[in-house]
Amino acid sequence: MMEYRAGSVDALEEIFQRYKKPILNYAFKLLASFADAEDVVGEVFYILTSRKDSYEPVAKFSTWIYTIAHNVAIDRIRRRKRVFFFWQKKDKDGNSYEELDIPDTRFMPDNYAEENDISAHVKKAIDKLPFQLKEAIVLRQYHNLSYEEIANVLNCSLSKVKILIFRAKECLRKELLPYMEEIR
Amino acid sequence: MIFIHPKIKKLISAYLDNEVSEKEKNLVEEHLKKCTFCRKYYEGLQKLSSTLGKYKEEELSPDLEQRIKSNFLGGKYKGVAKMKNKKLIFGISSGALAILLMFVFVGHMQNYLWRSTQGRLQNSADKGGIYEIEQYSPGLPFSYEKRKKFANYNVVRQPKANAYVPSVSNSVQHSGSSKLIKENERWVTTTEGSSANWSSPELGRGRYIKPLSTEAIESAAQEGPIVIVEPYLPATGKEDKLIRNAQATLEVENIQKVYDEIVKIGKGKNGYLAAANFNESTSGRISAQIILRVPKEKFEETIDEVRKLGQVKRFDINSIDVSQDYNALVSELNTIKTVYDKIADKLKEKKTDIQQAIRLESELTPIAKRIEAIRNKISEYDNLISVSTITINLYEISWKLMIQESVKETKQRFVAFVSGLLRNSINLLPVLVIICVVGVIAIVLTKKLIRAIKNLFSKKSS
Repeated sequence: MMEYRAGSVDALEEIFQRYKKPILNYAFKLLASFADAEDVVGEVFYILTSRKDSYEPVAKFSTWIYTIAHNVAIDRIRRRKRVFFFWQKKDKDGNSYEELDIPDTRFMPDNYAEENDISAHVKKAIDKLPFQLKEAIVLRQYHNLSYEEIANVLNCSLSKVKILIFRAKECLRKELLPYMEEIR
Repeated sequence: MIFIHPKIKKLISAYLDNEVSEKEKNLVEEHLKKCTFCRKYYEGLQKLSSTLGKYKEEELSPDLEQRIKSNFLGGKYKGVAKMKNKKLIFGISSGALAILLMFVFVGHMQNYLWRSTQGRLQNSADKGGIYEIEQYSPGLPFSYEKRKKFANYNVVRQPKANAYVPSVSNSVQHSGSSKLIKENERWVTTTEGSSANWSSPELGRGRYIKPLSTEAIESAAQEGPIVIVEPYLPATGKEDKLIRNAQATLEVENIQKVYDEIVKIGKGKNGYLAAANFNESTSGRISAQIILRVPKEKFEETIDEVRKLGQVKRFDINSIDVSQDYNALVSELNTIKTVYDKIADKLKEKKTDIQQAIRLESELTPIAKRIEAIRNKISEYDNLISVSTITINLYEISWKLMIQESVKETKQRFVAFVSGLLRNSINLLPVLVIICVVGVIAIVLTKKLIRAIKNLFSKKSS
């Protein structure tokens, strides 16, 4: 990042290659929408390029980029809520309903191949988690961030991260209990 | 029953993630050796970890990658960043607005407190002057000196007609409802059932009706504190030269009948009808003005009879004391008469020649004129004193008009009520704003507190 700040275009390319996939997956798990996740990646890199001068190497670069992604994702969710508030759609009878997201058919259990069955259940279980728990467990499980780094990203205390991850595991354990048996 | 040690449970989760201290690590490992349930839990979490690992990661296709790249490099998300700036501007401006509102509110509250203080001081002034001010609550944001100054300002105002009658100069302090007593040529009053005109250079004018009997007054004085006022007393002395008049306004059902009655009363009292006017207003209401003159001895009787003729709307009796003028005229008359007699005597003397006689005659003429004028004035006074004038205004009771008036009054009251409501709600607006702000802060704080307590409990339980 410091190289990029110094003006190296190759450094940006390297950062993009290294983080495009983690950020996309992180955003996808949080937002459950591929289109949104794609936008989050774009937005994160836009912010990264436009605010490169504000980067100070006090923390790990990964923590910084995940913090940006976290903020962008939260912003997305807020905007989504606001949009639904103003544009509540109505059915034939005049009752309003919320179209929460464009369903990602690729991940629907029905369309999933047999070997991906567990993956679909895992996705469903993660989607069901409250946002904060979801974020904590995703950063820990899929992005290998330490508890301290997660605390930095979520801007909370270390003890809170411990509780969040513990609760997330408890929820997922209950949710995925039948499929865990299958592995055995 | 499966029992898992709750504190260890949380540690196991952190242990699996390698996020425990050396001491905690040893503790967990020791415990897992001993406790079957916790070991099962540990295995369960391990399985969970591997299950979660089955989640298929999403890949980026080269064209998608290219699209994202071109989007962020091409500045597609500029708008988003700008929106954040907008948010900042919105935040700052709403903060500024909130501060402005606070200023308005504080200013308004100050004004409100000032006005309410003024009102209370005014009220106290009505009740009896500056002496009560010291009793006012010390919580107000004004010094005693300031309040006193205020009170002095207000105390010179005219007290309300039906409020407690304020005392004058060296009078007795009073509180509570007042009654009436005569004491050393002063009237001591309470408001109950009495009213007459009074005035004081310090306190303006007030009024009460008619004095009670002395016994009643004295007993009233024993019951509670009383106030001295200077009343305008109707003169009753027989030797005094008084012109007495009365004006009455009555509401009657049949004007013609009442008119006949008044004429009858006038005749019965050896009086006469001086004038009568009948009038019909545009709304169809008939009214009349009758001027009755009766001998002064029959004045009170006549008034009593007239009052019974209808519903009394207004009644005034006034006496003009002309004794001084009258006596002056009489003594002037006597003096001039003496001069006149002397001149006349000289004229009668035979020694006077014609020239002298003409001069004396010319001297006598203005004196005679003056004597005539004084006599006329005296007889005019005599007439006015001996015969009192009673002016009676009669109005016919009109149901139609009464309904119209009551509708009008209701309308006016409604408008006053609505405008009062509006004014009050506008006045209350800043208070509502502050209540909302405080409410929101309270809700947020309560939520935080509840969360903190919950966290504390969960920590304890683990």
